[in-house]
Amino acid sequence: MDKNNIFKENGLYYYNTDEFATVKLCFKFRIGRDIRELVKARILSCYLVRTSKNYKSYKEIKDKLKYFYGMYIDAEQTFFGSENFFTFNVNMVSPRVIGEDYMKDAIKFVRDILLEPNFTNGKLDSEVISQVKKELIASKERSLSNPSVFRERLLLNKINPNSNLALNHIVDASEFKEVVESITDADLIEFYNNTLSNFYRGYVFGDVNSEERNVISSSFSFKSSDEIIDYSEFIDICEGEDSIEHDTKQSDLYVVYKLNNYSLDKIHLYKVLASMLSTGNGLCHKVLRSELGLVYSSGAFINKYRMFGFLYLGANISGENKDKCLDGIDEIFKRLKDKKQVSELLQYAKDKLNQEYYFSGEDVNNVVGDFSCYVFGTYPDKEELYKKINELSSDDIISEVDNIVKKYVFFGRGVK
Amino acid sequence: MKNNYIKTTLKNGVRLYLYLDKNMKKSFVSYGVFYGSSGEYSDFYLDGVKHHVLPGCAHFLEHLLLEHSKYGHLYRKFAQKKYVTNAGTSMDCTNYFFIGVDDVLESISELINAVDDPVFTSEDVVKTSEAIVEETKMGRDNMYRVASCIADRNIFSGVEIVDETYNVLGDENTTKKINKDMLKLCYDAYYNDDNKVLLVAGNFDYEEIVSYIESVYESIPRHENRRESALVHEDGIRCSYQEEYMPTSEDYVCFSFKNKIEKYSVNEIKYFMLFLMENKFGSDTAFVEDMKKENIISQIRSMNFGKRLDYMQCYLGAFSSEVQEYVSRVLEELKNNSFSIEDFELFKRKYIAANALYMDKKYDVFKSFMYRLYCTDDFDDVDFIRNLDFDRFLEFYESLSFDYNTTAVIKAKKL
Repeated sequence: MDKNNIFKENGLYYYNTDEFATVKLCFKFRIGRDIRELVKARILSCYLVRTSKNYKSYKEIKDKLKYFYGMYIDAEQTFFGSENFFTFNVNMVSPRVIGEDYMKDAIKFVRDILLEPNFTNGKLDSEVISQVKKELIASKERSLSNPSVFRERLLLNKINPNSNLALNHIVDASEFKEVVESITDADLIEFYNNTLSNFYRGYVFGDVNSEERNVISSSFSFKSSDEIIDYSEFIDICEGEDSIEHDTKQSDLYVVYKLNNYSLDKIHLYKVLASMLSTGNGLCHKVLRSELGLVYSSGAFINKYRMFGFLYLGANISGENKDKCLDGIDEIFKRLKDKKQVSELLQYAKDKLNQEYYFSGEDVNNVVGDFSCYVFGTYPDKEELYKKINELSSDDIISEVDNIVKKYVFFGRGVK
Repeated sequence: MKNNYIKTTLKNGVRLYLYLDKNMKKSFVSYGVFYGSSGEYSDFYLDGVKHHVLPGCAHFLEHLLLEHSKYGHLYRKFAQKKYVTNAGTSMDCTNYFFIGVDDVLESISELINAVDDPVFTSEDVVKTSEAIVEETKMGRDNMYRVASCIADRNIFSGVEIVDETYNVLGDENTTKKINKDMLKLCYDAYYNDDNKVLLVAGNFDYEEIVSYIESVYESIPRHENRRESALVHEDGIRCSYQEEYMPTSEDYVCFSFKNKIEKYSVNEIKYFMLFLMENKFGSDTAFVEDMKKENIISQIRSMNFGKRLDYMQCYLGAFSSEVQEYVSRVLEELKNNSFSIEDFELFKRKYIAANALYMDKKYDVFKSFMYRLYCTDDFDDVDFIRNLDFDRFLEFYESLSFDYNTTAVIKAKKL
């Protein structure tokens, strides 16, 4: 990402580049934290893209999207840390690449989808909303009937039973169904109106000329907030061990660690630590796969599932290898205290991260991702982050390892 | 994209594709062979002698050649150079690649040498099998893969595209039975030079890079083609319906049909089939909306197609509680010529954009290069799509038959 390409105009952030054919718009609105709010966001995100005031049927909308050269619109409930958002995304191809000046009309259509919903006399289209709810319930039932998904969700419940931070904590599909069915049209309309008045920030990426920017400004009067959100929330987790059996070939072993000394100032250290554990040359692959032959796939994640301050290690293994794998994981942490090994791994991790950073500009997803982090403040400034990464020493890593405390072991045993 | 690849054939028969771009800061290199997990590769003649091998040999070799190369664990060595590196085995290809900045020429030589001059031992085979056994279990727990494997097995008669493990990688038992001799046999049969493709993308000079690559091959033994096909298959299908129970909340149905198509180019087939499938089974179609309202399906999950033997094979995956009704409606809809030129023109606009957007993610495009090449090296472009003709599509559609079909059902079993 080149910061010289960034500017703010009429309340939105712009990244101006003709290097890519992709043009992207993204608007984020803040929403509440309880389950009902999150479910309303899910329902509304499906409803808005299927019907609008001026395009009543899904086919009309899809045909319009095809007409605008396969434009893609979606709305989704997203989160970062403890904050939840209703996010509206648009992807399209640059008119200069296509050779047709279509974007201004496309933007007007996008406005129609987001700002002219199909709400008539305080009601939603009953067929569409009924279908949307049915599909959401079926989708939740399907995901929770997948053993791997269910095991992970159950683990989240066990380590943090009182959390309502994410729909990922739901392990009972009937609980989700109850919430979905209890939400009325009036609830959704109220949610929509409240959400639109809670615009946080938005951006436009790609080759967009001044005429097109004027259409965007006149279509959307959103003004990006200057508020800086503190995304962090550190919650304690339960200690313990548990297991469950399913009729599968594979078993899943999860070990969750609390990072006792975690703070936002240490993001750089934990990014490096995650790289030392998880990448192709990392300790999980080296110990659990190459040396012990216990896994095809394993990984370590920091801050997965939005609760800052946790390291989560997962491995897909055979049922009889649980104890061997746990020993292997203990060995991994022993090696994180060995200066020679840490030194080698640290250098490799730094070099790899640096290379990713310096050469990320060739892939549109990386550039959009960096720009998105910049706009929404979801990660610290990249330049600053990588400066801190390069200043890390082996002693920094080794001394931090003492603050990583094993809290929970969960085993989903496959008995097929 | 079509005009940006330079193709040449090296002295030893390896096909070389170059994508030369002075703006690329990272280089991409892949080395692939047309040998994959499909069961059609399990029977062959080598030096006139017939052989049958166990499933998963192509995938096993993919792990073995680079994990136990003359340089040791080549992935680790490439990781030391800060490369992104991986390999994959599809039904028809095995492909090894790296993306990196430093020492690329040396690494091209190492990659070619690792693939073309194997040194694996019986002990290496045993060691490698450990991770593969775990991988086979992951595959067997994936209901979508199991469903498509059942469909693949049953849509063809006379040849086992997938065996009774219902897993193209095999299972724990078959994996443990694969030995060094079997793998050497497969290697000798399929890793011949004219069956391989090298793709090099980056800021290179044409003459220099071709000359360098030719020099790398000078010190490597040639791999002549000693294989003849032992493939026997018949028209017709093995079985029209099969079910298996797995943990899921509702039944998953994979409906598959096949056609022999002769008069059309691979790219025409691709776009005509895309249009047919999207027009019939897209989430916005009246057909799908009606089936949802009547609770015959809750979701169409996937639709795709590909080349298999002399056929084009299509798959349609859906969650359905009324399997027989669903299949009969799909067949009826497939035979219903309700296409419009307006829909066809809209479809073209969508894919003109998709084609234009490809190179925004060029490294992903390069990673899938080998798999596209299996079908054709006549890469399509925006002009090709603009020139697609609706009348020709209708002719294509009328030539299709849906008689050869099979249904694989994953029946719901509560967790």
